[in-house]
Amino acid sequence: MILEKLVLENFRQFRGRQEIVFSNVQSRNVTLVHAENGFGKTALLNALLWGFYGHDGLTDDLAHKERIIHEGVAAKSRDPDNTSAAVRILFKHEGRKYTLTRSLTLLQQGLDSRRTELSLEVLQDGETFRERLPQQRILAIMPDGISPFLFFNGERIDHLAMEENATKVTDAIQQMLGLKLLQSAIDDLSHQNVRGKLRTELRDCTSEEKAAMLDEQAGVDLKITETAEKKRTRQDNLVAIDAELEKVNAKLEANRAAAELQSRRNQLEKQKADLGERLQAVTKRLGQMISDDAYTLFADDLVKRGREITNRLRGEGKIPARVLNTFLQELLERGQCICARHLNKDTPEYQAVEQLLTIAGDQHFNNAVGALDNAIGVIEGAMQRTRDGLQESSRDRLKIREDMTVVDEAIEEIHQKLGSRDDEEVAKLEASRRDWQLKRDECIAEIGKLEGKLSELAARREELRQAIQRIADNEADAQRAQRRLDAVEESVKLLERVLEMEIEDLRPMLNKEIDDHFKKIIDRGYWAELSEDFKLTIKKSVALENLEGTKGSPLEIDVALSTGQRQVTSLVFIASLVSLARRRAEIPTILKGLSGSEYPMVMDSPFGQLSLQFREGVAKWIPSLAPQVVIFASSTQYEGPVAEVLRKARRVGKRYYLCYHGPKLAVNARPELALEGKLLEQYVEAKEEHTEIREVDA
Amino acid sequence: MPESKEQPREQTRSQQEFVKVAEPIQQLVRAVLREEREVMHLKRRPDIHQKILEHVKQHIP
Repeated sequence: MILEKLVLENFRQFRGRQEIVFSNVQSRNVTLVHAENGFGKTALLNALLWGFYGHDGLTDDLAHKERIIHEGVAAKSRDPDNTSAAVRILFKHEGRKYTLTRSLTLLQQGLDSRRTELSLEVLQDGETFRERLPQQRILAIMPDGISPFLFFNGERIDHLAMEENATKVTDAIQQMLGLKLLQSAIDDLSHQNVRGKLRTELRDCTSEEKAAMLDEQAGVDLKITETAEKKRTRQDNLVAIDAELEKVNAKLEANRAAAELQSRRNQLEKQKADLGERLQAVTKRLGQMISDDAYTLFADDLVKRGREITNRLRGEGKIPARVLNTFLQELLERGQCICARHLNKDTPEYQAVEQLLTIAGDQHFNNAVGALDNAIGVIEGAMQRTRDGLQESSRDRLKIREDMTVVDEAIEEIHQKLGSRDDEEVAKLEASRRDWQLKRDECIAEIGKLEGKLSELAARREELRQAIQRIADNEADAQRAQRRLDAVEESVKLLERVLEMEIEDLRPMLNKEIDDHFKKIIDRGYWAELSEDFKLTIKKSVALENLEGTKGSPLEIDVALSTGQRQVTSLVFIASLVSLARRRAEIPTILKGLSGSEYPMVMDSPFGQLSLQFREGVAKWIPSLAPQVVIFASSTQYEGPVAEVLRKARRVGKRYYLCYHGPKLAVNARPELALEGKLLEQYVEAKEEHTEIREVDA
Repeated sequence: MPESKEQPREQTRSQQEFVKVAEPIQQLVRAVLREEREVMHLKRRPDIHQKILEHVKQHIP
């Protein structure tokens, strides 16, 4: 979606008709709106959100959400049915042009301001038509789950991309990159109303044996749904428990009597997590080695016997054979020896060659013994390597376990120390921490148990599916029902594979995009890491002494970011996601629209909390990532590096400023706006408050 | 018409996976995705399962 124009009519403080035309030229993709605090930046952002999503789209920081119509206009109105506010948004999306109009009359505002009028006209191939279900169409173009990532207040996004919002972030990624569509199709195809119904149709016309299996499969499906639901609940609980633990940790860190020990414990817990990851990696390596090569350790006797056989054959001169039977047979069939003598049957020459067949070696036998000899050599080599590898991995595992025990003991010691402190608050916090920790352990164990149950159920389901498929039906109805059920099963499997591949391919791409731009803006040796479930963390490397007190290998730890750094991280994350969605839209996929799409980034005060250095980085890089950028900025946020970078890059295609009319100018707001050496009036004293949108040269 | 100079794009892994399955399954999956695309963001979508069943019956006679 690319925004073209926004028209406001009596919306909040924008009295009368006002408009903004957005720049959609790729090289000048920034539309800049200068506005002092209190002049209407938030209202402008909300005009777009109200237009797209109605009342539900309005941001939490907008006061009196029910008052949409300009207060002065509303107060003077004598005809509430003919007094209204409207927002019109013109945008293009995937080759079509849309005109969205949302309006609300004063009469309706008094009754219920949530109920608005919405229309959506579409222009395609020179023809205009009206969408029958406008809100549905808007949600299909820009799902409400992604709007907080596209239309936002920059000063409030510092936690947007971080771990605590992982669920929302994952959802937005999946929606923007088209993965949610695949998941949704999988869920609906597997639904009781689809798969279950087809199964019932088959059950009604098949054999008793097959019907019984179908019943069992239905039962297994139900259990899978229930178990998956339980797992989801436990996962939500885990997120909540982690948040509580985080709160207690923060309180302990802030408490003078506990701060030092808590900080040490944080380090130890990171170390423990790192050791856990290493243990998992070594165990995986060990498992792989056992499944691939462990057989060689039991092949000692076989190798010895094989060697004896090949040695004996070699001693007897049977291998390598001096002459091969296939060669002699060829001579006899051809009737001529290599010495050019004719080999006619019953001649002494013929009999002499025939006699040689009794001592000739068999070609197949020779080949087989050669292969055996070679295999024995390979197995002997693998035996030693496997023995060494297993010993090394076992040593590593033991060492990691020992280190983990030491770390666990150190953590426990800290717990004992803090728990027995005379300081009542510390002791209380420590007790609460232990409680949450135990709940956490319990929750993780339950999730593990449920995962085990889910794999068992999935295996049983697959067994039943194959068994059902093997039982052939005689009736045409049953055959057709089976074909349909198979088609649904196959479709689900195909979509699951496609989804898995898409995630595998996209995650590293997004990670790279985020990391590259993050490093360009925050130059501190930090890097961004996107986990397998799309959780974003910022890491750094620290050289730590290991448990014996000697220098160990560097440890990667999560960085505790400042508010400004978090804001930059969120901005980079969103811009990278928007950029990837745009690139993905260009890749043809199995269905048009499955892939991502173009989206704008509309940012209210994106530079507010940032240091000058970060402002420069954000102004420089964000417009190069997103296809369209709309920035609302006050003069203090804009002046300096932002102005400099945008001027040099010639990125701004359209520029406006908000002129405020009212009885009093807000504190810190300037009456005039200094732009390119000119002073523009941006405050006009007036009895009635309203804001005017004025255009200036870009 | 001038000949397009654009090189044919290499198929993505998921596209390769998709074309491996039988044509009726490809058609069915395409139809389901098209249907889902219209309603996937809605909280209530009562007809989707019925529509999918109709596609199954149409593509797998």
